Amino acid sequence: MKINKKDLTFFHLLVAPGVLVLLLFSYLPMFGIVIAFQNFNPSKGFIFSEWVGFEHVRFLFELPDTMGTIRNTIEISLMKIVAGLVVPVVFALFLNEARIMWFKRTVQSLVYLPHFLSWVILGGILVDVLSINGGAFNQALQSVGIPPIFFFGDEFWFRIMIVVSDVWKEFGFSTIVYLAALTGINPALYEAAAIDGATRWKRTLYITIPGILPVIVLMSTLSLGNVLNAGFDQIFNLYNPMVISSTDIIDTYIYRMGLIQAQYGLATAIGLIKSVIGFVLIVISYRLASRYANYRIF
Amino acid sequence: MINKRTRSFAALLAASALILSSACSSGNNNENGGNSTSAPVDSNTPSESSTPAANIDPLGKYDPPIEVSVVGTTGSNVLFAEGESIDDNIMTKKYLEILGIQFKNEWVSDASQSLEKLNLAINTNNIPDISKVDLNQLSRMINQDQVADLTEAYETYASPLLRKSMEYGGGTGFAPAKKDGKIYGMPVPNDYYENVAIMYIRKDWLEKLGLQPPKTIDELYEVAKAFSERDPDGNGKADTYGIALDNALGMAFDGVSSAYKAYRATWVKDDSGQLVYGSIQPEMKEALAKLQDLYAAKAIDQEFGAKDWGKTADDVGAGKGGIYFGAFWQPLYPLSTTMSHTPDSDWNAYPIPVSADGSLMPKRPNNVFSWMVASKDMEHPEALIKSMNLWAEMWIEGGQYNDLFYKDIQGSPQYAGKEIHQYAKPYFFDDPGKNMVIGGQFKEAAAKDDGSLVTHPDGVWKWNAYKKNEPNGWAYYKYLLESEGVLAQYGDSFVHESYLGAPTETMTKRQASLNKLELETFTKIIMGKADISEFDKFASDWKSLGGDDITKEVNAWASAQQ
Repeated sequence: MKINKKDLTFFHLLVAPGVLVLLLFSYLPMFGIVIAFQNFNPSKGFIFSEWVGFEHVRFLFELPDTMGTIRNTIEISLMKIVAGLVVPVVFALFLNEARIMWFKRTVQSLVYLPHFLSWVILGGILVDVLSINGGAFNQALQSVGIPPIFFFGDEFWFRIMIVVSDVWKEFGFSTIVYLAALTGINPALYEAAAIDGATRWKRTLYITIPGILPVIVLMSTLSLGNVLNAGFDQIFNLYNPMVISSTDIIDTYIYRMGLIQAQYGLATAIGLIKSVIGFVLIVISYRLASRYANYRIF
Repeated sequence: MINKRTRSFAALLAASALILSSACSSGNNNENGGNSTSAPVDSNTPSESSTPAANIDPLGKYDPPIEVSVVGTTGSNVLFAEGESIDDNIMTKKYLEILGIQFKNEWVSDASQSLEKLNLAINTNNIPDISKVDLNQLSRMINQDQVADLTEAYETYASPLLRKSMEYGGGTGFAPAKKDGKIYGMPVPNDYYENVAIMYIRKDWLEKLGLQPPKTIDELYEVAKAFSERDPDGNGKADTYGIALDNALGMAFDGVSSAYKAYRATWVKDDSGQLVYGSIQPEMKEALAKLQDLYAAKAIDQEFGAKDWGKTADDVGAGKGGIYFGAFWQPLYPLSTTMSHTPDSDWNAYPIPVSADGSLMPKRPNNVFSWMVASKDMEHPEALIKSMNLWAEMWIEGGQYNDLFYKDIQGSPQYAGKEIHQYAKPYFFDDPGKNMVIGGQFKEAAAKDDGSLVTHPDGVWKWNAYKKNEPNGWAYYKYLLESEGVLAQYGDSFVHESYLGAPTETMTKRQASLNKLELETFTKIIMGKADISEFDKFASDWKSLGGDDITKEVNAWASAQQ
């Protein structure tokens, strides 16, 4: 097919607003990164503020909390990534076995719904539901003789709660992706296997799982780029002094340092470190995805 | 420090209290810039300076009128009369009419976002003519050379009434706003006793269980334990507790720790006259051990660690907590909300528990948490002082515009219940001694059952509200009679915040992580998740992680003051 010049102009015009927005909101602000190497003084501006080199970076690693927040971020997000991978796959497999169409559709929509709730609201609900003082969940535990669990005061349980609630909120989306992949498997394979006497379990094991494996690999390698995003909204709305040392993540740390204490240089420095590590991880995950799942952007 | 929304929420609620205090929120967040009365006032500033030419009028009108830009804040408690708005209302009209100053809102934001938005404005060097800033912002703006020198304007234009309010208790609010002897910000004073703890107890619960109001820590222990164990609300469920504590370790912590002469997050003088940090003193270990006991005995809310100030206030309103340590004004909120939940409930105000030697020594943090600054580019910085003069004349007893404000504006049906003082321009500030005066008048009036003894313009309508059983009438009566009575009983025995300066260099860099360490360690110790011996480790960590440097800087400041 031949595309003439006039058509190209039209397409360029179509893409222009998007490119403009990207330049304006993603590329232009990148120049602000210079603050990470300055003692920024707004009345002097970006150019005339005092340059301090890597002073902020050095100071960051002198602060007692920095390493802890990086460790927390990685631990929490790895837990989330693993759980967020296993749960939707298993759920999609089960749902795929459901034969009643309306049931399948309804369940699919229902599990997708929490995705639309904000953590501000969910945070309030969780505090009430999980309270040790008359919260529904702990009352249920007590009625079967289990002592109540103080989810918001116990570091171990708080992390569990963070991961479970995050998976509960977000797994509906991945489930849809896997369900779509499942429909792509050639039904003839199942029929042939059934004739050869394969049980349902065998068919799942040897046809379904290999069939969606590329998508699983793709989803997991792509999530690698998110290792440093442990979920600001969620943790910001749920954490408290009792559990802060095990749940403070890079993003909440940046928020407090930058927006509350107005230490812009430091906050920018740690944001930059996060971006650099994130960039490396994305490159790695893209390489892995293109090698193992044949996924290419360009 | 943890929850931004909480703080704003608290600030909002506090603002809705008619005396306009930002009490708890400011109390928790203003830990290092406190002031004390003992500080010397710079002699070359304010009051005694010669009054220049007689034609300088503190309320002189600009003709033609000038325009002054400010920023506006809205909140659920900011209500406007029919046809008025934040840009155009009775107060903006009066300022234009009397002073020839047209205030213009550069932008308006919700109270919960004003801190971040103002930070943004400061950092993009895009500030309005006049803004109201907190301690950190003030010190940044001074160091970044963004604000105007107000020394001359203040000396020339400040009226006696304004000076009275600004310099109350020694005028220590000026300390962080000064650099090289010049004034760069006008303090926004609250009541002098803004953040002094008072112990409020459910009177109906005491009566029901046949208990006496506690005077010592041991008695407090018994009463608080009884409140959690003996079902004071009689609903057959174990759903009540004694002491309401919030997860920022607010006034309930101070109320108990003062009995051990331990003062958290406060710079106090030691025996040798050096300034030392209250949180790491040995007394604090004793106080924490007692709080750990109280928690273990279920005398303190078992879930306090997960509850911010707002949630604690909700609990108290819902009749769950029976002992509330709070500021003098807190009968307005949250204590008055208990009655809407349990109509026959009642609260009484008592002094905090005495220490082992029988003395009462509460802590008094500073009563100034914000300052008004003028932009360096502002053409008429004296317009700030003039506007403050006008507000002083309206609000403070003896002002020439008292009648205009209290009778014509606030007293008219159009503005009833609209908390019109919140539109004071450019920003509201209080007369720090006002409530103590009204409190004294209420005491007389109640003793002789003679309302005419209440003469302060801000007291008259509150007395009438009480007599007519209007909403808040109960709260006015409680706080002006009982709470002020407790404050009067405290007399002069306070431990004042002794560091009055701007945040030092190390404070700016390290205070936040030190505060986090402190809050976390203390919370864990109280809950019994960490042994009391953790305190020693905390104290040495605090020193090595920057505390020693801060202590040096603070003492260098103190010796420079002498």
